[in-house]
Amino acid sequence: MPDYYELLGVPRDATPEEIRKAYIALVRRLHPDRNRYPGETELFLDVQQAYEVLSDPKRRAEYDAQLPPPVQAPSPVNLSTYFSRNTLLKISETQLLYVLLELGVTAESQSRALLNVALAIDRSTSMQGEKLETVKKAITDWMDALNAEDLYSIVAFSDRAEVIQPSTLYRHAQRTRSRIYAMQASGGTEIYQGLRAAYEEVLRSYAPERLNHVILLTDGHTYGDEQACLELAEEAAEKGILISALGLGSDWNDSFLDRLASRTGGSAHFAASAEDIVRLLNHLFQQFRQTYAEDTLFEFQIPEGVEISYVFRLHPETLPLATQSPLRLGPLLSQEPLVWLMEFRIAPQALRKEHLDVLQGKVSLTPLGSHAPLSFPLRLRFPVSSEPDPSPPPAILVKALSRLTLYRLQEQAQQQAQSGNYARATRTLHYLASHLIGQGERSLARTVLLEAERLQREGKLSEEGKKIVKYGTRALVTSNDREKGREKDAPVS
Amino acid sequence: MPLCPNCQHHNPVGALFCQECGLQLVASEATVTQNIRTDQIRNSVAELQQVAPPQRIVTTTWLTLHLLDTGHLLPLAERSEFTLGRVTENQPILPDIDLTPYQAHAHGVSRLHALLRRKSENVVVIMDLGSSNGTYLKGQRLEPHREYPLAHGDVIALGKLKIQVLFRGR
Repeated sequence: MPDYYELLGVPRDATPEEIRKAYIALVRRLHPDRNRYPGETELFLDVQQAYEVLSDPKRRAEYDAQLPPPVQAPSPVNLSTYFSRNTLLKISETQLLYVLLELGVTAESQSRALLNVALAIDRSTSMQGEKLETVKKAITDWMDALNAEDLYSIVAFSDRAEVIQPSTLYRHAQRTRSRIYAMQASGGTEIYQGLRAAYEEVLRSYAPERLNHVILLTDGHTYGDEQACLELAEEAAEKGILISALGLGSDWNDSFLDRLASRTGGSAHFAASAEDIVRLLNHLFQQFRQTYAEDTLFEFQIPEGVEISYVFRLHPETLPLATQSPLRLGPLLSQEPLVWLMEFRIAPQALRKEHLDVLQGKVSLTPLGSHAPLSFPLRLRFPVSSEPDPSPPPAILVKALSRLTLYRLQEQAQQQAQSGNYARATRTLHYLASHLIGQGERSLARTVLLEAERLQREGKLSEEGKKIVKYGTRALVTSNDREKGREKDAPVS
Repeated sequence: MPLCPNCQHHNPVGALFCQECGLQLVASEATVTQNIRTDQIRNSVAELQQVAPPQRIVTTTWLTLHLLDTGHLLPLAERSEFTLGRVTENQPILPDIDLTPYQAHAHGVSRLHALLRRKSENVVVIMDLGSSNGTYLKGQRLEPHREYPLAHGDVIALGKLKIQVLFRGR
């Protein structure tokens, strides 16, 4: 007899509500009218049966009684957690707690994922000249790395979108290169147009065993359609399509692209030069090929009095994430862990009992090409004590936080500068520069100091400096060695 | 409420790094320093335990600065890297060694002028940090941001402030 819990992808102690939700989600996908793969109809019938049993408390109890104890099959994926302390302190003020979570693939996985990607290329007037030529070159170079069985499409957009290459298998593509080279710069920037067209191309060829991804290349601000873009990203995420963004030059809206990417679990990057575009595209595609599961979802509940004040994905691509459930963590790679850090603010009223469940939820993902989601139930329970926990925090967490601190100082400085508090912003920049010098990041430190001077002189930061500092400190968060940090350390102009 | 020793900011309980200036506020399990440099943490715990005991070595003076104009001696110990400069109002980065008491301003020392780094037991290098008036070693102006090895008894000049370097508290 199959394990009904496994079939529905729920833990054995799942609530009736959880069972119902899992059932509905599966039925939506597996229903004979909608399913797409052989064998899914049979699976659908099994799921039906599982639900009939598990939704009836009496039958469920009978079933549970004869169910063998869970087989401890080695899970292909491992979830580890690290806490900044092991107890919460009973005090009358708000306290902080840091939790680092790490998801890693333990199974050997040699498969190389096939792609279903669309590039949305900004060809607005501001791209005119060398910039557009560089992008064209970068894209045609990148195409050489495609596999014959990869699906790809290319969209050029300004204030309207034009599908240069409809979604097709790479081996069927013809004369794409000449069409790319024929692209002319003109018009304004309406990212929504390009994004929507690219999204539709990916959606048309959507396949769960492929990597379904939209990559946006833009150099400018979009006008008035930011909300529409974010809603589109939400829609894409629901359908299992990720969006990543490459910002070219210094005029684009970084916080918007960050938000756009984080809605889907994608990533956002800063390309200062032509080489950067090629390097970043190659880097992204290398990661795509290594993808074990494309969409890692973290659903959770937090009790009253607990607030999640910060979530940051540290690896493989650094990005500030949303702080509410469901959290899209993005792809899990087969060779590299997916690491994210959460900062909790815990108010005194949450600490009335002897222990507190700071968070309850689950991390779920579906390996590419598989129909069985893996799910990791998670409950972060801490005893409440009147004595502080004397044990030092784990080194991995301190290290991660030390690097993240630099990024946050930068964020803080930008916020302070924006709200007109130049004195504080300058001071924060100086702190940041000291830390950077301490870490040997001299060129980045110099940029920070130049920005601090500029702030005092002109009352604002330069767009370019802001981005160099932001993405420079962000690159430090993930860099494993000095070389990597240096490589991303953009030159000072 | 943990008070930051660097900027006096009151941090919430549980903070690991100062929210104002980014200073590390707690010791991690693998390191006991209050330094924000974390590259060493990665080393395995075993490795660190081997390195950890001889703490006395760390606190021994490895270099003494002899200020030729005033005759002052400044011993350098504990850390393996020091920045030299002078402190003023609205200071960008505080140098580790403030040379203001030795007429640094009059001698043309920049606020963040140069860096001394101990590479190994007997190898100490100097690097100019892009100072306005330059750093000189035996009369030669140094290229900024490049390391130059020093020998015991060498005279360096930050602008016009002459300093003799004496290895190990000799």
